[in-house]
Amino acid sequence: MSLLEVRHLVKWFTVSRGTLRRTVSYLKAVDDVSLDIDEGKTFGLVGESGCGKTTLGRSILRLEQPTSGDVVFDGIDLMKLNAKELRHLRPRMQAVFQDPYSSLNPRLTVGEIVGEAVEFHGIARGRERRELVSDLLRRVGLEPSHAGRYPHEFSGGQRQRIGIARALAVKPKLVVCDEPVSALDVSVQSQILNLFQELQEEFKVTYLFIAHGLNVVKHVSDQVGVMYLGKMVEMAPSEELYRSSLHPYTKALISAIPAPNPRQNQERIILEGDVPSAVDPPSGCRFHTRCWLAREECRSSEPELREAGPGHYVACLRV
Amino acid sequence: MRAIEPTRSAVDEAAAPERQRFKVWRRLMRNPSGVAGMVIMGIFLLVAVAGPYLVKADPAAQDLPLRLQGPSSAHPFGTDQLGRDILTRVVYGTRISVQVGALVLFVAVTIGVPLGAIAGYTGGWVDEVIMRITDIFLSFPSIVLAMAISVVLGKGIYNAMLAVGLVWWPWYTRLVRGQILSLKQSDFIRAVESQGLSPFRIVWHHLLPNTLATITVQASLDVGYAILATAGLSFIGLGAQPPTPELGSMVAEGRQYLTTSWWVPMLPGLAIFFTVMGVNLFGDALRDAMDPREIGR
Amino acid sequence: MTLLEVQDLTTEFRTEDGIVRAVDGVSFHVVRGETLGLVGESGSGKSVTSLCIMRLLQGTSARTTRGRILFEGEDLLKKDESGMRHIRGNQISMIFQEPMTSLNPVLTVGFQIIEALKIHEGLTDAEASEKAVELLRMVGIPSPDRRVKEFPHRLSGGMRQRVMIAMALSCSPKLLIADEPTTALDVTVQAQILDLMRRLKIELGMSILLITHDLGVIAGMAHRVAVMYAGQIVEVASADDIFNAPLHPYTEGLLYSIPTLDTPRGKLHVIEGTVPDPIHMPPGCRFHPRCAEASPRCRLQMPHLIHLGDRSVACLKYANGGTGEASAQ
Repeated sequence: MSLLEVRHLVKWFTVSRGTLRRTVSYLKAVDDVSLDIDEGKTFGLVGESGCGKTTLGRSILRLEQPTSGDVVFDGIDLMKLNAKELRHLRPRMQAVFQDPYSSLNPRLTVGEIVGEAVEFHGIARGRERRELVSDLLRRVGLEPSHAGRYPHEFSGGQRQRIGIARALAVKPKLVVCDEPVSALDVSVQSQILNLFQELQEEFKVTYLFIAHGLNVVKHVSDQVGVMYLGKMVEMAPSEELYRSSLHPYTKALISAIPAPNPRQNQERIILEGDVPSAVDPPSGCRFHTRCWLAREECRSSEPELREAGPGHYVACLRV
Repeated sequence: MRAIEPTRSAVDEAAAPERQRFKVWRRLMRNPSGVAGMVIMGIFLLVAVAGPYLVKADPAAQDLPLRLQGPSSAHPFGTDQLGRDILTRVVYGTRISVQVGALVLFVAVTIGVPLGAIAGYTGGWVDEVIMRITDIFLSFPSIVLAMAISVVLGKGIYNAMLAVGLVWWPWYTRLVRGQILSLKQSDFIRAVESQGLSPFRIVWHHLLPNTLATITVQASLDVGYAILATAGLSFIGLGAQPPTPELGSMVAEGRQYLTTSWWVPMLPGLAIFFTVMGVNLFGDALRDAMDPREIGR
Repeated sequence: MTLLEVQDLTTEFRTEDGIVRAVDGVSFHVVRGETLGLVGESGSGKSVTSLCIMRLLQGTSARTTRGRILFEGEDLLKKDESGMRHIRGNQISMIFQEPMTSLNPVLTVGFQIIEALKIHEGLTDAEASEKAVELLRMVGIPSPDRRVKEFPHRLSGGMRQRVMIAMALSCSPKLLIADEPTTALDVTVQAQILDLMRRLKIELGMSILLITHDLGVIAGMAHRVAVMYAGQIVEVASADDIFNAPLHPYTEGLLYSIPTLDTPRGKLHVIEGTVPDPIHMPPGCRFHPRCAEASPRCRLQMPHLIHLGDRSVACLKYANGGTGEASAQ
């Protein structure tokens, strides 16, 4: 059963100029995206800069207010909640952020950071709360004694662990992980990725895992969605996406990942040009400006996301 | 150019904001002008607090036959046009000036900071309204506005302090609002928002403490100006009324004797000068010491 | 044949908390026409090494206390500032990670390229302008004659990096130092830039010192690889050898802990622990607290680079006969 159902989510930012703040155009960060995530699974969202994956994650949590669309979480329509109801529901859907150096309040102790929401929402108080925090710290690979210390005494990887503990403290069902390992050293990334997997098994959480590295995303996810300029261009079970990708952008993405093996004969697909801006994106299929398969129709009509195989969706006119 | 970033591994030492404050202190101590500022401030604070016990005379006591006497052993700062001991009056005047600094800043911060926080965090029309009010206040030359409020409130030193405070708050509103607007975008604020904390708690517990450094530095620099502004009001007759020994009014009253009995206006004037300079030196050094680039992550 | 030879380079930073030896006894060389990959994570000292070569650390709290940097036989550390200025941008060029901040935002792109050309090659304004347009064309920027007049903020990240490359190559340097040139770029753009660098290297016959933490980037670009950890070189070998038969446990760990597209789901191989605090380095081998193969010796003795054929490794595992002494070179 789906824990999260997203339907036709749109998030446009207004671009304004001048002293009177006239709206000049729109930054179409997320433009009609739908997805489902089943309970206990991991949905990986991948794409390059400007694709809208981070905005999508934030919009789902209503940290950004969606321009339109529906988000149904655990049977509850999030768009219909008022501010107070939403705050009350928040513990059930948490987030882990990218930058371990800015996602923790430098003036609070680790214990305060991890335990604050627990106290605020009445999940546990006093000694019970302290024990909860200690347990969690141990579970993420830190020491209970670290609760009295401050974030800047810890390394990037450790800070990320603190962030994870904070998210799990309020017993969420869904955790949106926004590039959680991108800012970490390579040797630490695998530690944290493993931690994510262990915690999922133990706490039975569902992940929306956002990253720009397809290799990382594929490794942790059951299902992967590829985004380009605000649109979902392909969605499939992770192994299937890798072995039989259909969308040209997905193929280019896979080919662009440098494999740590000098002999691997990489059939390199080198795309032309840069990623266009999401302000006034290209007409028709947004990828057509860089696509080697593009035809006349690609310039004028936008492809729909249709099912090309069991659980495998693609939005391309040439497939 | 910072080419390396010393990474921190597991922790073996004592807790950190102590370390932070300690670092700020250490840096302050290393700065000669900062130390000088602190020393001067220390002296003046001591005078302000212990003054009445150090000089037994009555600041209002007149001794007309002894008027306009130069500095002597009986009157180290001389006497003024009414025969009052200037040293005593300067001591009491310093007391008042210190109170001025504290009270003006208290009023300004108490009004300005919450308004700035509300404006910055809430945004929307609340922000617009608050900022327009702030702009109106800021568009008047501050002394003129202080004068106008003073007239409304009536004469007297405490009214003058209130007037200056009421003119001062907009700077704090702007300052805090700016800080909060940029802090609002930080990941750690998004994080606590995502945890469902109330706006009040976020502002009070997370945002404001992180603006503390900037507010402190600004306030320490403003103390000097507050003293000057209040002295200015007294100078033109709106603040302290005779016989209150306020340093500004002492300079005003003594002006005419500048060429004949220089100690009458000069010594109170120098007292103002040193107090303000001491505070300014300290404030500057404090700002340098608290510079986040120095402290590092 | 050897273009650049770094010998026993040691650079220290004086910080509030003590002396940080960011680079400690580093030695390697770059041969004419090859790409040497310098791999390491944060704190490894790789960036500082490159800045030392370019002598760009003057005016900071850094002091090079030991070693030689021989470029075509001349020790760069002994050169004065005007001598170095003749080298920089001319014989040795550098490109950096953040194209956003590496270009002067108030000068046009063309101006920045022309500057270097006029100073080093003595070209006239007209000649330099023409060459600038040529250079932009060479790095694959469309409509170069128009772009030349634009300011950096109008260009995308990928374009800016191309401009940086154009600037760096304008005087046909013998050595290009590229410090994380593609880390800040999207992966499809990264592929373009790496491709460009590969092509230009062959066309211009230059050497590249490629500094990065990304082993995948190294695999596609470098002939030889030097791995750095905590300020020291721990392994040097051909790219083939490094990837197929790594000797140092750190290199091994690094290779196996990165998920590739082929890695099956499940637990990843990890290197436990974190990079050490440069102020409090562990005794003996700096990697030993994290090393699965550490022995009691490793805490007592600092391993030196041992040469095994055409590769080297700094690990007591390969030291001779249990005495822990380095084998003869």
